[in-house]
Amino acid sequence: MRCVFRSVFVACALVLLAACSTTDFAQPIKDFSTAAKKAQTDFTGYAGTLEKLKGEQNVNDVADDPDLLKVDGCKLRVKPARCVLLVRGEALKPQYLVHTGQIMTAIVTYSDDLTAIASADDIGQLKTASDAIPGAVNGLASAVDAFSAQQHRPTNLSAQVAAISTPAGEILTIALTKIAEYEKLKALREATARMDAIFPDAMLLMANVAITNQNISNRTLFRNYEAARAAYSAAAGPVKNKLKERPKPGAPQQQQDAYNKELADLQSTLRNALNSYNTAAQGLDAGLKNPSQAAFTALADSHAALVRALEMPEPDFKTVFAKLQEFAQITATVAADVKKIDDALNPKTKT
Amino acid sequence: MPLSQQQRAATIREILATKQKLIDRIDTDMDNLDDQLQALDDKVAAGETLTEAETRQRQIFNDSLNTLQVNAQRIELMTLERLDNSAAVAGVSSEINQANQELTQVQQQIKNLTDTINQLNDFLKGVTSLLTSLTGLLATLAVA
Repeated sequence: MRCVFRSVFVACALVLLAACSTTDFAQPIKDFSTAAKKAQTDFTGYAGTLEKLKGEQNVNDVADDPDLLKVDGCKLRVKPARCVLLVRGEALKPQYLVHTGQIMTAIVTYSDDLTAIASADDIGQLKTASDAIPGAVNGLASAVDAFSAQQHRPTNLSAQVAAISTPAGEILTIALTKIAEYEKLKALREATARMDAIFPDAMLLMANVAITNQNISNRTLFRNYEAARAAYSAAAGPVKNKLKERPKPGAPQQQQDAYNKELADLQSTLRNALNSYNTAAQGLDAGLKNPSQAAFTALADSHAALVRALEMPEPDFKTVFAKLQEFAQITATVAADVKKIDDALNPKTKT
Repeated sequence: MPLSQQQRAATIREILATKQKLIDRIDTDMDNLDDQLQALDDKVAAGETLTEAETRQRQIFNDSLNTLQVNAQRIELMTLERLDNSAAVAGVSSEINQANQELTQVQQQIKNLTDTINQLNDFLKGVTSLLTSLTGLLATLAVA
């Protein structure tokens, strides 16, 4: 028994070492995991678009120089059995950013692992420490006292044991649970501290995929904007000239009516051109703000905040939650800007 | 030999910086050409008719912009491809995978700890049972 009680006191000492519990971090870590999955969805979208562009570029290259196209395999009896059209040694429609994609997948696995450690119900699976122990010890002490009395050697073990044994089961349960919590927190601290050294590089890569996608889109938006501006100028010039031809007061009604109709037609064309010009300007505006990159830098920030919070003896949840909220806001902005960009890139789909 | 963290970060930044220099030059050229186009657009918007030379000039500006746009896209895609196949990306990937493997081991260790605690509880229950038996025995002896 002495051994057991010693364990309890050692456990209590360990409890004092862990100033916070993993259950406190379960929610921020779960939120981080959600953010990582959102980032993966974004990444897959960007990589898919770039892969498509790369394929189109290869097709255009062959259109400019048909000698670039080579055939790999495509024979019935020649091994290895395959049939691929190649441009400069790569597939005409290539798989793009395979390795960077693997990093994104590994980050999602990492966030899942953190969640598993922080919120897994291993602790829940702990069996309740035997509450019967104090009762059994008390019963034994009473029996010893009774037996001693029979032997005319009176003892008072029940009074001595009652003082220490009553809370034993409770202390043991809490202490053992806290040992497991302490180990979990230690594991989370070590894991996030290690990833802290890798995470900025990983997010730099992801952000660059987003930036590349955005840069390419922006140049298309820029060209659309120029075309819309030219169309607007072409519509504005005739209106300006027509306004100079306004009939003088007292001119024949027929002449005024003809003028007004011609002016109205030109102004209608100008209004349509102005609306297209504005849509193109809004699309370019959204593109130039480059919101896609921000999603990955925000994820990097939220991870850094998580690391810092886990390292603190007293956790700073305000920082973690503020970063996560910032991420959520950026995601919302991205969604709004993507709509503007989409309208500007696909003016025909606009209703 | 795998790259160190500093070498990895330096490689990534060097590839991106080289690309950015080229892209900045192209984008500056595109902005300059756009200024020229804007001047012609302003003339048209003011109701003026472009001369034949100006119309030809506009066509040349537009063609140049298309070429720059295609070249910029080519550089952007090639850079990402180079980065994707670089030792730096392989290094980041390998480190994250290694960290994930260690996390899996930690999960197992925590599970083992839980099992140990449960075994300790089982042992305590055994002790309780023994104490109860002893109590019964002593009570019987006391009565006897």
